Amino acid sequence: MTEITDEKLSAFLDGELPDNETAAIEKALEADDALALRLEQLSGVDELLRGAVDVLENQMRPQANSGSDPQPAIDPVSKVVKLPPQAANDNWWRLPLTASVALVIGVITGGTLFNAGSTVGPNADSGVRLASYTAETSLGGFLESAASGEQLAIGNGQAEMRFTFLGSEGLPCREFAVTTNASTTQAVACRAAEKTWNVELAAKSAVAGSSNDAGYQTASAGDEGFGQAVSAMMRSDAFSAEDEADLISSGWSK
Amino acid sequence: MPDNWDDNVLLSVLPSLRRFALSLARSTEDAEDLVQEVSLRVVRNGVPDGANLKHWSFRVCKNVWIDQLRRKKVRTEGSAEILTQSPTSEDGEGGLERRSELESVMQIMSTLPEDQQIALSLVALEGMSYREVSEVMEVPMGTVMSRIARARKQIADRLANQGEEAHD
Repeated sequence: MTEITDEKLSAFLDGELPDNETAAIEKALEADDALALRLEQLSGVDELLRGAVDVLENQMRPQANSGSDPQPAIDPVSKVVKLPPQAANDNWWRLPLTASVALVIGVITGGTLFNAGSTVGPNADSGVRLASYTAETSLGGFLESAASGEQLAIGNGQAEMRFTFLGSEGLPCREFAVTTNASTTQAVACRAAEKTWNVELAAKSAVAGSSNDAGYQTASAGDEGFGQAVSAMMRSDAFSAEDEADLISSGWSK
Repeated sequence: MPDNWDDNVLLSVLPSLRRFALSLARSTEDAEDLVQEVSLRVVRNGVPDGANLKHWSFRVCKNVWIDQLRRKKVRTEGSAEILTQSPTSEDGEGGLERRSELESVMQIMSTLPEDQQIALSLVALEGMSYREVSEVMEVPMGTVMSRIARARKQIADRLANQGEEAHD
């Protein structure tokens, strides 16, 4: 067998060898079946590793809710994590975090980290979750067809569509809010697939005057944080009513 | 918003970070915890001037994972969650065998030294260059090259041995 070590073969696989060494290995591979087999074994490791992570990753993806809503009674709550005061610092990418602003996990994770229905906040009775909603669900249907400004009663809350924009991945995204007697959840959902919307960002704030036992941020602080978090997602300005209507009528295919 | 804010970079890092976390933690739950912890640390502490956000996030992930291993004082060797899932129609014929292979590679991976696992994951999953890995791991490129080679060699050899035993 040609004397080419596993270390050289490994670096060859990664394209990390100088041209002359790469050429020498390519030439050796043509004449040495054992060397070619070894290269195949080493490269197979990477392929299997990627395959294994693919399987695990697929298990992490939120499963689309289909049929009826998982939580017919909407008491909107979000995944929020409170950050300590030192969260606001002078670093360049400071998120809109002041001492009392809750950070929405969806911003950090791109909304893909958690399984559907898992919760971080103290109130587990979530209505708006970082999950997928098909158009057959109340919320999914609202996202699919409502014009900005339109309202709809969902469970014990009142949903309001705010505006539509292109998200960071070029997908249509919609900001909406669901208000109950006790709280308002502001959220952004993006159209991930045909008639399927992923809620990627959600922040709950207590309605002024209501009890705030859960320790969530005040509405004003939450508004500020949420608004800037949405800005960070926006690749485009908000669509005009006309453009939005075109998108809706075309089934979001434009 | 700061001049050099780039939300696309921020959001684009997260899927890669999650895959990296999955390759290290081998469990969806632990990977979720890991990415969450990394995200919060990066938000809290920020990124040094001039640092590449992606590389910095991976470096934090590496450090958090090693910290977690040390705190637990046990290595997370063992099976991943791949075979715990029922085979699906997508698996097709040979699906179980394929899953078994995937499970094996993760199990062997879990027995390797942490620095080898990290180096191999960054290259195999992320397609990082050795220079990029050396930045994340804070070691010379030659060290990166040897760690990756040792990891591949050990996994390939043990997979080959398992294959031979299966045919005996």
